[in-house]
Amino acid sequence: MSEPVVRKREPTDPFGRTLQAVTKVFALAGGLVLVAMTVMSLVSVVGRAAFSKPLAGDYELIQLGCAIAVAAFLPHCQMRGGHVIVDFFTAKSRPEVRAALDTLGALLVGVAAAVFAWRLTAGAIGLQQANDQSTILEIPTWYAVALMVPSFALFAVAGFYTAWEHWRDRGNEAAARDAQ
Amino acid sequence: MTGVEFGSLMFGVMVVLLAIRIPIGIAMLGVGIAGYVTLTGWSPLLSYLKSVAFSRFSVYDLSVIPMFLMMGQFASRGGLSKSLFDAANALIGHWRGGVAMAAVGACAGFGAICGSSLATAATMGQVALPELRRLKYQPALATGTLAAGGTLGILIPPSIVLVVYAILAEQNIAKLFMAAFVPGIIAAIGYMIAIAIYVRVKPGSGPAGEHHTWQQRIRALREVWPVLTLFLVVIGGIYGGFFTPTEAAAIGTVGALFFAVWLGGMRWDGLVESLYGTAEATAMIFLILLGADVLNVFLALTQMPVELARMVGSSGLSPLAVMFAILAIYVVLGCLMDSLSMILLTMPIFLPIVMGLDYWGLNPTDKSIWFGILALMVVEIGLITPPVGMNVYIINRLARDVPMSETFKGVVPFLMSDAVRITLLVFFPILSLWLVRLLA
Repeated sequence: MSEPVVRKREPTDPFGRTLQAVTKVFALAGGLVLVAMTVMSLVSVVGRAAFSKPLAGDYELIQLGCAIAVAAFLPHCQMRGGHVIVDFFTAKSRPEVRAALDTLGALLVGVAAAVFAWRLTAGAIGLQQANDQSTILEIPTWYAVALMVPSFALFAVAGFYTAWEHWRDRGNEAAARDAQ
Repeated sequence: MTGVEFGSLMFGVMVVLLAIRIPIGIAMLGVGIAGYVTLTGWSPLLSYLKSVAFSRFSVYDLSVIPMFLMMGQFASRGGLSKSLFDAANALIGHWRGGVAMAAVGACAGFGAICGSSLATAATMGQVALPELRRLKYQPALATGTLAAGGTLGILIPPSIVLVVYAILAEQNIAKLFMAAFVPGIIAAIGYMIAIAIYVRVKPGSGPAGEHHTWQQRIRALREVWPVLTLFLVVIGGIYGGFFTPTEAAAIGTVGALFFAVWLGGMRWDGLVESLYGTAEATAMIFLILLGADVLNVFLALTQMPVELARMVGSSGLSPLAVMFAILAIYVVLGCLMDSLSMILLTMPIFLPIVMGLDYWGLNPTDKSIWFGILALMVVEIGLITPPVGMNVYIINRLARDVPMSETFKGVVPFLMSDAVRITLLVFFPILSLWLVRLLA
C-alpha cells in the first residue's frame, strides 16, 4: 500500500524547477517538524517512565505539529505525481485522452487546494477572534491553522502547474514513459 | 428523491470520476462537497470547510501514520532487512525451497517494524532476489514469493490500514494490532507451506541452499538484534499498554533513525531522501482521508449507510453469504484501487451492515475487530492480483528480465494460501480475538 509507483520526469522549465525546489523545502520542513515531534514524544515517555513527569501538553503538540507537517507534504506529492488515481479503465485509451483527463484531474486538485487555502484563512481568522487555545499549553490554535495556509496555497499552484504540464506533454506520454 | 437514492446517485457519479483518472481523494472530496451543498446549502458548507482540514489532520490517533511511514523509511535504509534475511537463510536455507521460505520469514520480521507492504516488498526484494537468482530458483517462484511476502508488511502489525480502520470503526488501535498478530503469523506460515508444496509439485523450482553450521547461525541471529529491539519496544509497548500507538511509533522512529545512522551508514542525504519518501506517502494518504471525511459526512446526511444496513438486515440473507459477498467485492475492488482507498470508500457502508447482522454471537466490539482483520486480509490481496498488483510492479522493477505475467503466475500458490487463511478466519473468529482477550 501507500507509496506511489509511477514517477514523473523532473520539470525542465525554470518555473517548474523553482516550484519543485519550493515544494521540496516545504516537504523537508514538514519532515523535520515530524522528526521533532517524535523526539519530543520520546522525551515525554522517558520522562513519564523515569520521573513520572511527562512533558506537559505532548499530545496537543503532536496534534498541531502533525497538522502542519501533513499540509506541508501535499504540494511535494503533487509535483511527484503521487496522488493516486484509478487507471484501470483508461490504461488502454489513447495518450492524448489520458493527458486530457490528467489535466482535468490536476486542475481539480488546484481548485480544491485553492478553496481550502481560502477557507483555512477564514478559519484561522475565526479562531483568532474567538481566542481559541489548546487545553494545556494554551497555544492559540490559529497559529497552526495559519501555518497550513501557505502549504495549501502552494498545493494549488502545484495543481495548476501539473495541469499545464500534462497539457503541454499530451501526445508525448510515450516519451515520458520511456524516460523513466 | 429520497436520501438513499440521492446518496446512491452521487456514489455513482464518484465511480465515474474515479474511472476518468480524477485523483481518488479529490473525487471523494468533490462529490462530498456537491452533495453537502445540495442538502444543506452554501453557508453550512463554507463553515464546515473552514475547520475540516485542520480537524482531520490534527487527529492524535492519525499522527501514528506519518510516524510509522517514517520508521519504515529509516528501517529500509538502515540495512535492517539484510540481517533478517541472512538469519532466516542460515536457519532454513538448506531446505528445499528454503531460501524462498527464509525470504517470507524475513518479510514477516520486517513487517513487524514496518507498516507498508510496498516498502517491505522493495527492501526484501533487493536483499533476497540476488540469492534466489544465484541458486537458480524458478523465476516465477522467486518473484512471486517476494511480491506475496511483501504483503506481510501490512498484515503483521503495525499496519496503516488497521489504523484507519480503527478510526472509522471507533475501535482501539492497540486491540486491532493485537488481533492482527496471530492471523499475520498464520499468513507467514501459510506462505511457507505454499512454497513447500510448490517445490514438491515442481521439482527443481526451488533448489536447496548451503548448509550453515550452528556457529554461523548464532552469529547471523545475533545481527538481528536491532530489529528485535525495535519490535519489542514498539509492538511490546503497545500490547503491554506501556504507551499509545503514537508514542510507540515515535520511539520506533527515533530508534530506526538511530540504527540507520549507526549501522546503516545513513547520512544527511539519506535522511533527506527518507523525509521526501515519508512526505509523499503521507500526503497521498491524508488527501484521501480528507476527501473521505467530506464524502462520509455527506453520505451520513443522506442516511444511505443506515438504510442500506437496515435493508440488508431485513432481507433474510444469511449473514455468512453477506460476509462472503463483501469479501468478494473487496477482491474485485482490489483490482482497481489501493487498499486504503477501498477501506475508506466502503467501510461507511459495509460496517453498519456487518454490525447489524449476527456472527457467531460476537459482541459489537469483537465483531468489529474481527471484521477489521478480515477486511485487512482481503484488501491486501489486491496488491498481488492483476491488473494493478503494486507489489508485483515493485518486484518486477527489480527483476526486469522476468515478465510480469510470470510473476502473476508465481503468485497463484500464495493466493490459494490466502483463500484458505481467510476462510479459516471467517469461521474461527477466535484466531483474531484470542490475543486481544489474553492481553486486554
